[in-house]
Amino acid sequence: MKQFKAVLFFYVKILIPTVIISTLFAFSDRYVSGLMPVASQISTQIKPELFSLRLFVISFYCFALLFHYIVYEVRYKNEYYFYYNLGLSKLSLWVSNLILTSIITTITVVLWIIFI
Amino acid sequence: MDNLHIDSVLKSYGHNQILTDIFLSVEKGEIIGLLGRNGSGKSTLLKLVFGSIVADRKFVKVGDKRINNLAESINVISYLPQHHFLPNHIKIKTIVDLMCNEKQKNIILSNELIKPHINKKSNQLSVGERRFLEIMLCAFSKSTFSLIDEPFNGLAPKYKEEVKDIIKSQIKEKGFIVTDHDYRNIMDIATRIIILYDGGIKKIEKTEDLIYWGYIPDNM
Repeated sequence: MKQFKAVLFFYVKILIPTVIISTLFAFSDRYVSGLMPVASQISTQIKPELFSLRLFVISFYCFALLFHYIVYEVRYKNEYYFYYNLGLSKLSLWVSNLILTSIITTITVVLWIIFI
Repeated sequence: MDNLHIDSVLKSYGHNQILTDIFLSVEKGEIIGLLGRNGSGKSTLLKLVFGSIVADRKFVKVGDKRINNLAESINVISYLPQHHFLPNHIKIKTIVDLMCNEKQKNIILSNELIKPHINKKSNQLSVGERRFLEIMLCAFSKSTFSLIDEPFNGLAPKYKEEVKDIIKSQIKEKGFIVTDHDYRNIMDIATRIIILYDGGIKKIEKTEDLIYWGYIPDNM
C-alpha cells in the first residue's frame, strides 16, 4: 500500500505539466491541422475540432514520458533514492508511469464517449 | 538476519578498476566507519551493496537472504546518498509515514529539531535541517542495515552530536556502514574502521594507520 502511495506521489510531479501541455495541444488542433496539409489530406473526413481527443491522448503519452525523463532523469535525479529506499526500482517507476498514463487516457476516452 | 555479508565485489569504469574483490562483513550492533580518499570508491561500494548501481560481480547476503537488486533490499538495507534525496513536493510528515513504521514515525516526529517542520515540504528546510531529517529517516528505517554516505556534511556541530547519538542509539536494532571525510566524528562512533585503498579494504586500528595509508598527512 505504501509503495502504491509512493508511486502516486512520483506520478503527480509528472502529471500536472503533462495535463497542462496535452490540453493546450488538444485545443490547438484546428490551428495545427492547417499547418499540416498532408495530414489533413489523408484525413479529409476528420474536421478539426475545438478540442481534439485524439491529439490529447497522443500528446499525453508523449509528454508523460518526456516529463518523466526531464524531471527525474535530468532535474531531480537524486529523488530516485527516496523511491529506491521504498523498494521501487527505476524500471518499476517507468512501467508505473506507462500504466498510470494508460489508465488516465482510457478514463478520459470513456468519459468523452459517455458525455460528449 | 543479523549479518550483512559482502563478498567478491568488483567494479570498473572502462579500464579503471575502482573496486577489486571487496570482502566485508557487518554484524547487527556494529558501526563500520568507511574511510578513503576522494574517488576511492566509497560511495560506489555503498551503492553496489544497496543495489542502485550494477556491479561487475558481487555477492551480498543478509542472513540467509541473497540480495541481488533493489527490490530484494527493501526493509533489509536502507541507503542515505550523499546529496539530498527527499522529494520537494511531499510534506515531511507524509515522507516519514511512507518510510517508517508507527513506532519509528512517532520518534522522528517528536524530535525537537523536526517537530516544528512536519507540515512543511523538504525544500522549505535549510540544508542542515534537511540533512538531519534524511539521516533520521535512514537510521530509523525498517531495515536491518543502514548505509550512510557523508552524514556530517553541511551539519552544524549541534546537529553532528545529535546524529552521533542517534546512530549509536540504533545499534541495538541494526548495523551501520558510515562513510564521511570528517574522520574524527567517524572514529568517535565506529566500532570498527576500515579504509578503501587502491580498490581494496584495509583495517585501521590506530590513527597512525591513516597516515600509513595516505589518508591524512603525517604532520597532523
